[in-house]
Amino acid sequence: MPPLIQTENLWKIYRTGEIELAALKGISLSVTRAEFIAIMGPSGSGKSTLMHILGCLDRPSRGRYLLDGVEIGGLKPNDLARIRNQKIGFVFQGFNLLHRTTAIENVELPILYDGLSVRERAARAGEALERVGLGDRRYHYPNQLSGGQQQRVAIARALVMRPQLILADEPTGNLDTRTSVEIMALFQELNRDGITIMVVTHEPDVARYASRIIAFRDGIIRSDRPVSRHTDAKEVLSKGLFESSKDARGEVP
Amino acid sequence: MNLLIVFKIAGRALARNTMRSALTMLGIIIGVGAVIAMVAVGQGAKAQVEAQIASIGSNLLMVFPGSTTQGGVHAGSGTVTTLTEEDSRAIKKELSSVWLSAPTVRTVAQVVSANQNWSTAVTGSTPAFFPIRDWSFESGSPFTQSDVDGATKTAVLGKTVANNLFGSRDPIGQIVRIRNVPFKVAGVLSPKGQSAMGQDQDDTVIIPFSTLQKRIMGVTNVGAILVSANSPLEAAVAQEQVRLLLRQRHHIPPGQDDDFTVRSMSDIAAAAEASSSVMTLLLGSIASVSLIVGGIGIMNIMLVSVTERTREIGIRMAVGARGRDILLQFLVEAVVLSLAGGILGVILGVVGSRIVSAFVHWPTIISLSSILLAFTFSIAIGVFFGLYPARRAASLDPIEALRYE
Repeated sequence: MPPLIQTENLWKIYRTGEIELAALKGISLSVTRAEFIAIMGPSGSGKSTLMHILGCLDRPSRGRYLLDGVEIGGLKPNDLARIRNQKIGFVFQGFNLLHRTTAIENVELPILYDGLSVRERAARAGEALERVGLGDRRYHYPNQLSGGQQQRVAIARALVMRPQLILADEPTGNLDTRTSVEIMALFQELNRDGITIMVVTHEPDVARYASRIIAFRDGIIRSDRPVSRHTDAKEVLSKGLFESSKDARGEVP
Repeated sequence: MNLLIVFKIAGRALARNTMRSALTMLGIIIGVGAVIAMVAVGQGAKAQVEAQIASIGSNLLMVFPGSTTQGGVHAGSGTVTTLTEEDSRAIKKELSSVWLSAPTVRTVAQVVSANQNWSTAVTGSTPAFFPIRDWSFESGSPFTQSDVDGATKTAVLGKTVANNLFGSRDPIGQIVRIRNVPFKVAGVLSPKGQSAMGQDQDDTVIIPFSTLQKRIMGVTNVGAILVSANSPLEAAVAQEQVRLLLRQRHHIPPGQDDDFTVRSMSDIAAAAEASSSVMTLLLGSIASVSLIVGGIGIMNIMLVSVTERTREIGIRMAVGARGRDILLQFLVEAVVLSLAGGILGVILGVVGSRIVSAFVHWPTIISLSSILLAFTFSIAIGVFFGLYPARRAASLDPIEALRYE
């Protein structure tokens, strides 16, 4: 079985007039199935660019990217849309839910572009909401839900097509510490079920729930190491250990 | 993506901005309403003209002296005196397609009763005039051929003249004076109403042909010959036969122009119909301009909507919407706007036409074809003006769209 993600010498160059800016400078990376990866690095280090390329929202300027054994570079926009729909789930910092649209309809959104029957759609969306613990919030609108609940709806939306890969860009950036840990617990749970998870974050507290941490700087991978003793978010929650983390240090949540 | 779902999404997106959607639709509503109402007015006018022409009789031919062109010079009909009473008789006698023929001569004269007077058109003709014009009698009877032969002073009054000279009294047997010549009233015609040209057809007096020629005008020529073909179908044949017969009787060598003009009612009807069609077209096209303006309104709002919902577009693309899914979504939204506007516009047009009929007393005819046309046109406008904003939405870069604040 090939690795889920395989990149070889990936470059991304942005051109503004005369000036060329390389956001990625030859990234080679291999991710096997059911890994939980945290991508860290300061802003402008190229981590978001990599996420966009891995998520098939963007194409590399140079280099190869194979997702699930399929070469992505040569695909047309419609094929990329299909891959995003079938194989990838996105979770964003700002949740990116459709406002004035109920939770269940937000979750149904990816299924609309797959052409499943009405009944199947409702069943799957309901199932995904149950999975993130919001089975009783189906008909709530985003503005009637807390930040954590909104992010859970977004995760349910990412899950609903049963993807192999979930890409989360600063998923806890807008959440307080306790909720952040809850969200990470949910990711860990999904990861145990075999979904590969990649989380972009600049908080070490969040990264410690992953099994592998890749650090970026200036468009190259500075370090790529497994987490020796990775933390179980559920355990942290039950023992109330999160109190000592960023809240205690007086950081703005 | 299922089209039903697309329509549902579009309907909901529009419902979120009720006021904006309603105002955008207003352009289409007014446009479609105007097209339907204007065409209804035009069609109504056309139908009225047709009905009036039919009331004169579609098998009627009129022969006027003088040609429309004589030696290259345009002379008005009736400026020369080439027709005779004999011509009229020959037309009736020799042509198989002709049912009746009557010579006529006209003048305007003051008609005086015991205590009233009235200026009107006096026509001299033969008894055949009445069946040719399909004109029945309200009371009394027409004069006879022997009245014509003897040039008796017998008159038949149109309803308007009878009303003005005698009011509610019975005019039959009374005396009227036409240019000081006393006439005995033999009959009163039943009213015919306005002609296609807006004249009161009942404002007339008919007297024997010979009496008008000799006793009132002192002339011998014929003003026009009225000919009735056996049937409307034979009118064209009769028209040609009359022409050939008169050429022969007037000894016109081949190659030379006729010294008379034969006109059928269908010629006149065609001319009248053409002018009212032009009017309908004109009204319809003025109204269409407002429909196009409405379409531009839709484009404007759709462009605003695409910009406002850039992030939504980004989200949809991230979860797997293809360009054409986005295109379809915005296109359907524009079409729903124009379609809903079209439906309301049809209602407005129908109601508006009724109001015009009721208050201005113009006849209006709402044709199914104008409704279908306006309706189809409004959908076409939705597609046409919705396409550009929709393409713009579909061509957005997903990353840029997701970042949009």
